[in-house]
Amino acid sequence: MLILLFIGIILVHAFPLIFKVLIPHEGLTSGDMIGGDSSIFGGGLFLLLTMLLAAVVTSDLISRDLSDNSFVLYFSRPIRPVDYLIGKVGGGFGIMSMFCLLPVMVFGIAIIATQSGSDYLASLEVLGLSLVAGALTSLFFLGFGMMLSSITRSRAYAGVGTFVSFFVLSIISGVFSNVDPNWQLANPFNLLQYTYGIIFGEGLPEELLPGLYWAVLISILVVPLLLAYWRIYSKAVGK
Amino acid sequence: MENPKAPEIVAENLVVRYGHTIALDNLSVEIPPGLVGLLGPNGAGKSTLIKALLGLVEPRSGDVRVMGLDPRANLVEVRDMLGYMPEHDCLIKELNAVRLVSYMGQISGVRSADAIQRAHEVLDFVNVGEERYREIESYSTGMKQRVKLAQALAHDPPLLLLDEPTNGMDPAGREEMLSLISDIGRAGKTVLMSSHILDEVQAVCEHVTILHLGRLRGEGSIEDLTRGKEGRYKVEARGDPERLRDMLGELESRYQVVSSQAGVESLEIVLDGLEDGSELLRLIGELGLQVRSLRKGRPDLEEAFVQTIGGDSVGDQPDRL
Repeated sequence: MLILLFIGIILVHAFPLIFKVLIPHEGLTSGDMIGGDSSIFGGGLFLLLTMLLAAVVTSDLISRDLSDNSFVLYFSRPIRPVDYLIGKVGGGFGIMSMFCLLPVMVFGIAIIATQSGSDYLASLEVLGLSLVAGALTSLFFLGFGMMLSSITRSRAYAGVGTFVSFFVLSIISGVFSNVDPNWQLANPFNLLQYTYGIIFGEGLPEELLPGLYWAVLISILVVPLLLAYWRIYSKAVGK
Repeated sequence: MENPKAPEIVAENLVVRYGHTIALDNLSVEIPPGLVGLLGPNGAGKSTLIKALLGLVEPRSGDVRVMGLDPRANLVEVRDMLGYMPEHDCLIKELNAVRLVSYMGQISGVRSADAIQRAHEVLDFVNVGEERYREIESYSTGMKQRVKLAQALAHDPPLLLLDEPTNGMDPAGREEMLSLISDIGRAGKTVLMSSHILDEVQAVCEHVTILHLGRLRGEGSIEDLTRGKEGRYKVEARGDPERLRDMLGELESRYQVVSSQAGVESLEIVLDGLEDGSELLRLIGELGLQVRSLRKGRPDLEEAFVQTIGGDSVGDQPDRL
């Protein structure tokens, strides 16, 4: 995991940071963050590495406790299943944010510190939106990975399952997008890109239904965590 | 012996069901402070009672209180007062003992700054030495049992629930574990020890509670349970099997036969109601049988347990011993 994190930070954040700092620039813009493949959030490599990291991070968060039968150790203590879940999500978020949030913040601050323009407020606004995007990205894959980690004792199955699930969704999306463009929302990478667009004020593409977009986004953020909670609760009461 | 202190655990008409299975059937019991053994055959409801105390199962009806608090209404406060040593293998294998115990202590509210020191203290108490720095995966069964006890003590709870604490340990390890449990009791903590090894319960506990089929079947102090009844004798005779049967029939007609166990051309009988052993010797001699042993009987816990569980009726009232 550390190697993946290190390589990811070098490839996704360090090189763009070095290039951007060396090139004269007015300030930090949304284009730096979501403007195409060379941007932080716009590059496919960022999302791919985020998904891989999430699969590795979440794979043993709960599955290890399942295989060790150690739920009873937790739930004989003064914590509730929701406390357990929050703790695990917090731990996973902390690691994910080391790739999705902290380097973004460093990138943004470095660009602002070396900008030639005087509109620091605009740059800081972009930085703030970037932190929101980074936090959302950190959470995006966590829920699904934790759900899979809660239903298997094998961290390998959980990790591979997370990766394969998103991969399969992207294939399905690609196949059916020709029939209905709303199928693009089934691809988690597209869903994130559209979310970045909303965060940075660009809005959704016209061919997509806003209601469907929000339903899919909320589903992928909330439903897996609810299922993980149900699974944890069941184990806590010895089922 | 009456214990003047208020009971630590009280259950009143407690009913717990798993689907159609009644695990606790209107169980009413009071667990006093001190070292208490929880006995019963498989399926008696021991583990279910422990789960109910921890708030891990929802009773269908009835009340349960731990040190005056209801686990359903005060779950966090109750668990804060409890330390639980599970029967099964449950330790996080990738951690070492120090990290596990300190981690569990922190979850229970021990400050981070104190958790490591506390972990070392309890690991010293349970005699885990330099092994504490190795991964738990490499530990022997006995070492794992010690670490399980240590994590139960991590937050210094006043009440401990130990489920088969000597499970899988060698004789020397068992002795040491029982000694530790005695020390814990002497330190003023209440220990509820669930076990099927009656010798161990008799050696360590002051009081026992016996469950069977989800109901209370008996309870009392060890001293009361094993007090010898007047006129109790234990005799082992050898000889012709038919004459041994005649002897048993004769004894049953004259005295109260508590238990009998037949072997190869031998018979061991415990009976009450004799004034002295000479009449027994005379009877056995008349039948042409050989007396292997004759002694005044003081029932051990196993006998009391067998008598309690093997009762003919399961009445509304528990057997009081």
